[in-house]
Amino acid sequence: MSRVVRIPREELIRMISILGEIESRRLDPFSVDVSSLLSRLREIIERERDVETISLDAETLYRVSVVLGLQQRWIRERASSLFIDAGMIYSKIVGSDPKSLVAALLQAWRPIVRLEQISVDLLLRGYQHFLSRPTRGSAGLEAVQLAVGRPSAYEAIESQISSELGELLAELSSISGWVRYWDFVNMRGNRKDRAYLLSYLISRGEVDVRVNALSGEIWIRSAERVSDEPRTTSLALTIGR
Amino acid sequence: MSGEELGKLEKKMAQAVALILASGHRLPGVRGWELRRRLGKSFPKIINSLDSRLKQIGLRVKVVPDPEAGPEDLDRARFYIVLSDPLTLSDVQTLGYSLDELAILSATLAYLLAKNGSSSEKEVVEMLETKYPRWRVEAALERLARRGYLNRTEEGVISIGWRTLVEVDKQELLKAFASLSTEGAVSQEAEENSAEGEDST
Repeated sequence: MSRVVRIPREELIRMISILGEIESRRLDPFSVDVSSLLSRLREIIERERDVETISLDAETLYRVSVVLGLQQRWIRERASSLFIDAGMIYSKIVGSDPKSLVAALLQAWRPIVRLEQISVDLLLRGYQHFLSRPTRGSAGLEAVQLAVGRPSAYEAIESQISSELGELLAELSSISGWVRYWDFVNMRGNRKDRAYLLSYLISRGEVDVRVNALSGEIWIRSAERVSDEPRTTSLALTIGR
Repeated sequence: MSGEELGKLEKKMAQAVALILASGHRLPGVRGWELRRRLGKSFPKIINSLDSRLKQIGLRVKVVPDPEAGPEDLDRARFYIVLSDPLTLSDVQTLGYSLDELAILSATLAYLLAKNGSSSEKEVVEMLETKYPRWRVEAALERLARRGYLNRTEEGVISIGWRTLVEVDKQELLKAFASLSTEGAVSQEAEENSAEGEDST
């Protein structure tokens, strides 16, 4: 009895698969004989009335209706393409030189005209928007002026970040073995800064990361050897957790 | 039409051109509802006037209906400005495409259109390999897909892209291919047109 049920089910699944292929791969919708398929569906549904067969039958019927829609569209498009056969086009392509092919395209091609550069109008609008923006706090402005006035300001910031990275790596190295990422980030100081600096160390390969896919736990440790291979995966973490 | 009304129309047409030509979207052109918002509900009339004006300089407005809406739904249609006259072979050098790339585009589009817009990529590549080496074909198809002339799917299907729908007259292309009976006939004709164009300038 179970075998009798299984065969129509497999047949229906096969039908759904074929019809789905026609839709997804845009194959010729007339490659399937819809009328014989519908007769077969009727036979199956008259013989098997269990829930699974009925739902598979409904799914098949839906796929058939999609293919019928594709057939209608196919006929409409064939009519608009003057019923010119792909085989004929193939022979024309093989028998023509590139210049003739281009000339054929040029008869039908009307490229889009588009402006890709900034216009005076857009520049003026941008300038007006800039002027309309409120002036930022004087402290911020002074800091900007200070940085602009001192060429070595950038180098100073860079060396400060480098030393902070070094300190953080030394702190991690002092812990033997793997440590939980969140424990380390929350250990002391500003956790946002620590997480930010840690992301650099991880990107540079100076810190190893291990993620437990089941529990979601993230473990880190100081890398024994810095790998030269480029990092191929990325890990996004929300600091505000 | 009074001088004042004419002035308003001129201003609206200038706004329409700016919207269509310099749209800040990733895709060129502009939707009807965007034109309606800037130009008012009489925007189809303004677009008609703009079209007449553009024709004088070899351009025209092309309205492409949204495939999911009907041709009547102008709000969802996309408006472009396209060339109104065919290009000549001598113009090809300034288009940024090589002759081979355009030949590949031409053959691929004609083949796809004859197959109702899509085919397996393998089949298209094999067809093009009768003319060009595989690496050349694949590089050209990649570039043409990036430009929007073709769509490629992970299932290995290649179909016509949005830009083809806007820029290429399907029936005109198929007719041109049908008339490719004698080798080089169309190219000779195009060259003659090109020579005539140059003479007249």
